[in-house]
Amino acid sequence: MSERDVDQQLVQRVQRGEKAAFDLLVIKYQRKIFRLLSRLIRDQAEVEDVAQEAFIKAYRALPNFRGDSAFYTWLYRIAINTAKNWLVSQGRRAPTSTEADIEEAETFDDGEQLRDLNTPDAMLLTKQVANAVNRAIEQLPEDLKTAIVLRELEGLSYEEIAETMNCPIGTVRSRIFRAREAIAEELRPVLNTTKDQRW
Amino acid sequence: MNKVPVVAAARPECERLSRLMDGELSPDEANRLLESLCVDTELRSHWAAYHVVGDALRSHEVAAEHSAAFCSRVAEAISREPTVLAPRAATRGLPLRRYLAPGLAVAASVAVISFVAVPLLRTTAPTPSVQQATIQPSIAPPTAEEGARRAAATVANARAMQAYLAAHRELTTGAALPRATPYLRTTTEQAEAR
Repeated sequence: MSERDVDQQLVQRVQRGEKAAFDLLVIKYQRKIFRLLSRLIRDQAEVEDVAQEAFIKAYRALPNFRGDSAFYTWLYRIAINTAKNWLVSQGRRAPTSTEADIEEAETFDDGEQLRDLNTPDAMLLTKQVANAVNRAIEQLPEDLKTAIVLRELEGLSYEEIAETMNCPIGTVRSRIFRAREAIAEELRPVLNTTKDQRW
Repeated sequence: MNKVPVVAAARPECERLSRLMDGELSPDEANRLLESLCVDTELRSHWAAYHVVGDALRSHEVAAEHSAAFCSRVAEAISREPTVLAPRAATRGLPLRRYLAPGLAVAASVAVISFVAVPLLRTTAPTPSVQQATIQPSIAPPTAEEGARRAAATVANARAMQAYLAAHRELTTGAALPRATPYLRTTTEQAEAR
């Protein structure tokens, strides 16, 4: 089951009245939506308010979502429209076209060009995240590092990774899982989450 | 020297969760795990952690946007919303069915005509010998007794008809010999009866 299928399964659960499934979608996409809205709205508190409004609008509109596009593409459009309306209501100029088009919604390659939009606090946190990730990666054994990079950055399937690394698929599963756990441990203090606390 | 990450305490579901995120679970396994995710808060915290890890590896900026309190706030707001219910979403195979079904129906019709109707027509089309065989019994000469019975019935019918026609002859429309017709018919039938 592909990532898109997983999203679609969660959407169908929400459509059957399971609110907790929507929670999982919020957990998954909140950072991407924040990042998107930060392009249009500078104040972080306002970004969170607009993001919350966008998620609630998405929840209300979910009965009409049929899965013709990816869930995130659909959510992205709702977030952009919510931000535009919010800017107009604040008497600010809303962009005539979305500076970030739909194709960009699927990528994360916006870090460099948007750095100047970040506040000093955000830049500091970004640096701390980068340090934590780099530290975690450096500490990983080589086979775990290769497996997680091939999966998360290169987008290879387990089968392809197994071929590349010349090992069984079961070993690939285990390596990726252990790498994720290790990086998560390193990120926890930076993102102010403890083991018991919700991410 | 690299240290080996310790994940001995992790639940087996966590490794399945990792596979779910990578699209490496079967639909059945994925559904079961999603069901657990909706009710198991500990498992859900791993779901969040693994997604942060993915975001952080791809973009430090995106990971830095993480807000631990945000999800709780949205969940609280959603809990106040009326539950959304939608009819069962259309399956992905719908367009396929839409175009495939009429085609199959046409193919089935052609198949029925080819394999059932055409052979049936061929076998029921009468060959000369068969026709002769089936007609023969019907032209067999009637017995003398049956002939007499038929003639008597015909005369009785003719008499009844004659009375009827005589009573209604005023109503008959113009024919070549309007008034002569009943008498002609009666005479003919009497001759046949003899």
